Amino acid sequence: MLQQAETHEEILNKLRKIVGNEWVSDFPEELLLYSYDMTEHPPSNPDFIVMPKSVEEIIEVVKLANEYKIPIVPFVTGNNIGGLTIPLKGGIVLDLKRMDRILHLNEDDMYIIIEPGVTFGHLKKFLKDTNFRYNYPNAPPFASVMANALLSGLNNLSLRYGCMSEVINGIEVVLPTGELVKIGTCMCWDKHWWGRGPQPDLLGLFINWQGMTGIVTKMALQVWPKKPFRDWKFILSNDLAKTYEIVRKLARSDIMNDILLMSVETIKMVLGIPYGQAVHLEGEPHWATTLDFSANTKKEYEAKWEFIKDTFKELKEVDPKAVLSSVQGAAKMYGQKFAEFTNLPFTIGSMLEYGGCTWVGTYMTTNIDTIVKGVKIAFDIIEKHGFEKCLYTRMMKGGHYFAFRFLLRFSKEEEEEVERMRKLNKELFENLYELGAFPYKTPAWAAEEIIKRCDPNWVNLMHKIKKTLDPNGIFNPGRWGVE
Amino acid sequence: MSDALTKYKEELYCCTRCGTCKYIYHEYSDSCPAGKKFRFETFYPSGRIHIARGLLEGKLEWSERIRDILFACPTCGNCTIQCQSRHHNLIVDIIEALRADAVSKGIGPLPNQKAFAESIANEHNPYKELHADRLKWMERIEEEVPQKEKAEIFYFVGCTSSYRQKDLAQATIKILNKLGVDYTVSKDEWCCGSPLMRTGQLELVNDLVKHNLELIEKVGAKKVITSCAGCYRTLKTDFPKYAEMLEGVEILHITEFLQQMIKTGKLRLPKKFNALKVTYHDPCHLGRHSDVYDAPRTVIQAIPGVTLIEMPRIRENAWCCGAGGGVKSGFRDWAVEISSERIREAEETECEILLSACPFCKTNLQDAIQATNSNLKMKDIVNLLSELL
Ligand SMILES: Cc1cc2nc3c(=O)[nH]c(=O)nc-3n(C[C@H](O)[C@H](O)[C@H](O)COP(=O)(O)OP(=O)(O)OC[C@H]3O[C@@H](n4cnc5c(N)ncnc54)[C@H](O)[C@@H]3O)c2cc1C
Ligand code: SF4
Ligand code: SF4
Repeated sequence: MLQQAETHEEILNKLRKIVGNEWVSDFPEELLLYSYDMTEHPPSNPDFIVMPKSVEEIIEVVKLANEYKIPIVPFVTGNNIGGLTIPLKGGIVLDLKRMDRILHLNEDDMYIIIEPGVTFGHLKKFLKDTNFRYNYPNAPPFASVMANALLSGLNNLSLRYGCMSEVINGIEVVLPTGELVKIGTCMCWDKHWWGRGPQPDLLGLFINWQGMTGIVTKMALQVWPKKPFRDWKFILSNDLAKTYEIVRKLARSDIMNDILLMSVETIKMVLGIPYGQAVHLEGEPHWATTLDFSANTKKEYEAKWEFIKDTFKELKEVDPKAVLSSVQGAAKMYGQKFAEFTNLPFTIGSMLEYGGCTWVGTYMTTNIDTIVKGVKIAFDIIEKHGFEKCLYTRMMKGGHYFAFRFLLRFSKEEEEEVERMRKLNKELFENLYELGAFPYKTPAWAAEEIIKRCDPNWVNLMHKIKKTLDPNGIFNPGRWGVE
Repeated sequence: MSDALTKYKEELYCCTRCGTCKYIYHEYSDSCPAGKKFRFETFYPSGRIHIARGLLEGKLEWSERIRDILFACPTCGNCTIQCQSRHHNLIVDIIEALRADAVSKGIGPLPNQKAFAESIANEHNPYKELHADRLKWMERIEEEVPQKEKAEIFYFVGCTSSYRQKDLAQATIKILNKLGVDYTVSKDEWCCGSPLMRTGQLELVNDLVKHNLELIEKVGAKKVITSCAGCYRTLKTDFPKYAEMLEGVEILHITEFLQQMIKTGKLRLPKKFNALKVTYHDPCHLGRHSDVYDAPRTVIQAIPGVTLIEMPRIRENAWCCGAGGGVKSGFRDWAVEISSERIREAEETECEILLSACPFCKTNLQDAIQATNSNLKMKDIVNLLSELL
């Protein structure tokens, strides 16, 4: 407990006045549930859970938090895999699930305006009967679209458009001092959210800050026209360097929506192989690549498909056992679960059924030698700690950078295993950082390590910005080395 | 460590709180009435599992609030369909086991639910009615109701049809008589135990199961027919957990029985409705809990003049009526809030009649029709069918 009992009651009553009795809790069961997530990060109890319904309520809660100098941690589903909603210093967890409206679809400029509680599932349903598509992570459908964008997520059009913060047109945000600010073209006109505009781009004050600088209450995100032709292909191969070479070539060709290169262990896990048994067996191919592309016309589709086949031939020359098939064909061979890759968002049930799920996920260079070296180093570390070698990588933004991560399931039943996973992730971080890999959705411990290693002037500037925006240090404290 | 927590220990560690159970998988309409209403993580299926974990690890202590969370769930089982993890089938079992723990600790059930147990102990029904009045529903009807010592079919009427929804028992009789089958009812029938099992009050359950099985055995029936989805689920899936089932005895919901009669051409309906549009609500006990989705639809579609127009959330994904799991008695207003959502969904089909196959659903949906001033008419399939006889 942060406060004396009397102050606690006082805050509780004031919070109840703001949002209504039923939307505040300090019951032990809620405090426990919001104190941890599916990762290995140690739990930490909040003091209150508050569920606002409106921007006005959020502003009042922020003012109250300043008055009592208690922390506020925004939360939507806690599916971020970085332990980012664990309230490291206690305080209020602001559960934004009730603010879940899709406010607008602008068909001219192709964007949507959403509230924080909108999940990928909600958005997919909303867009179903429109001519537009969004792009989805391999996260469970019940994860916040807005938080995913704020955290620079990697989704299935990220090869085209970059990480998800790059497709934000504008936001409305409550600052730690309680002011409501609009950023992007919406700062001039309520009805124009078409871009960040040519003005100084202040969006960076909120992206990747993990709720440390503002609570975003509205966000405009780009959507794209659905294409009449869309297809998925699948490559199985053994030569990692050559596979990455053709993956990079395809990424740079500007014709693909998405390319995922995974280890065969990942595919086995997705297909439902039980925990501990997703291993590579003698004689099996090592690498599995999914290729997603679309076209406006049949002719365009065929031309793209020709290019893919030609590029694949280059792999085949050095990796004669490599095969190229349709995902539907692969699904027939390996089971229908495989076809889920064509129907995002989906839940990889077998990854999420042992209580624990984590990874060190990074963005890094597309240099092939570095990537191949990274895979080798990481696999050795994972093997040493006794987990499965489930690699999941994606070319980003036309091949300008690369997403390199693992999907690590584990059991939370035994503390020994949780501790082993902590050690694994630390060792992965340290070795991958040396190769130039930067962990996204950066957990507090990794951020602290980065701060020790990075440009100190960057750290000073970051602290100055934080201090200016949040003088009482109440927004998600304990992250990025800021107390 | 309590029985429930030990029995399901492994499953309690399966849930990552990924949230997939919070709506219909790949369709994304609401699935969980409890989560939708109360919104805190604790009220979703995963929340209950993690509360159990907290209790198991000694991080939580039993409290009235925890009891309320556990009982604020109509045990509709929608989460068991949407969850993609290996424990999905057991979520409701875990919730019910926790309820039993709450009762054994003297914390549960909810006050109104205690009355069921007393009434069942004294009068073998949860409605505080006299056992002697169990067959009063057959008074003042023209149909003859057989009470034989031996019969091929035992019609297990159930407490709700015996005391509250008598017209369902009467309509069932009318159909069985028309079919000319060899059946009987019995004044010695006792509550099937469903209200007790759903609310964790298990003390009397063994006696009820034993008594009812003995009764069926005495009659020598080869088929037991129920017109109540709750009785059906209890006899079919819960009884075997408490006793050895009678060999060669088939438990059938009336719609399954009628489906057999339609397929063999034994049920003929000479009259016809005039272009009647209906929609159908899958009772959780019949659908998700027992996997019976087609039989009621086959029967509806066989009724001359009737067109079935489906709601968006049907079969495995059907929105619960809100009456089950003790919610109707424990949270009266909320139960009707849940069924009101179903009524709105039914209204969107522009049908005249909302059908179901469970007297309990019928009561709660009827309450919602009143609460929302809806023009819909609520009927059981059996009642609609009997109108043509
Ligand atoms: C199995 C699995 C697979 C995944 N795969 C992918 C993947 O392929 N690609 C990918 O990008 N992600 C992936 N994710 C992560 C997930 O998509 C995102 O992290 C998620 O969308 C963020 O939403 P959330 O509801 O989890 O946010 P939360 O965890 O609730 O919040 C995340 C962070 O944002 C802050 N925050 C939340 N709302 C606001 C707000 N309104 N204003 C300011 N700050 C806010 C929180 O304080 C926290 O710091 C995966 C997750 C899982 C569990
Ligand atoms: S019960 Fe299943 S779907 Fe729901 S949160 Fe747990 S694992 Fe996910
Ligand atoms: S049984 Fe129904 S109400 Fe209860 S937790 Fe599952 S989905 Fe929610």
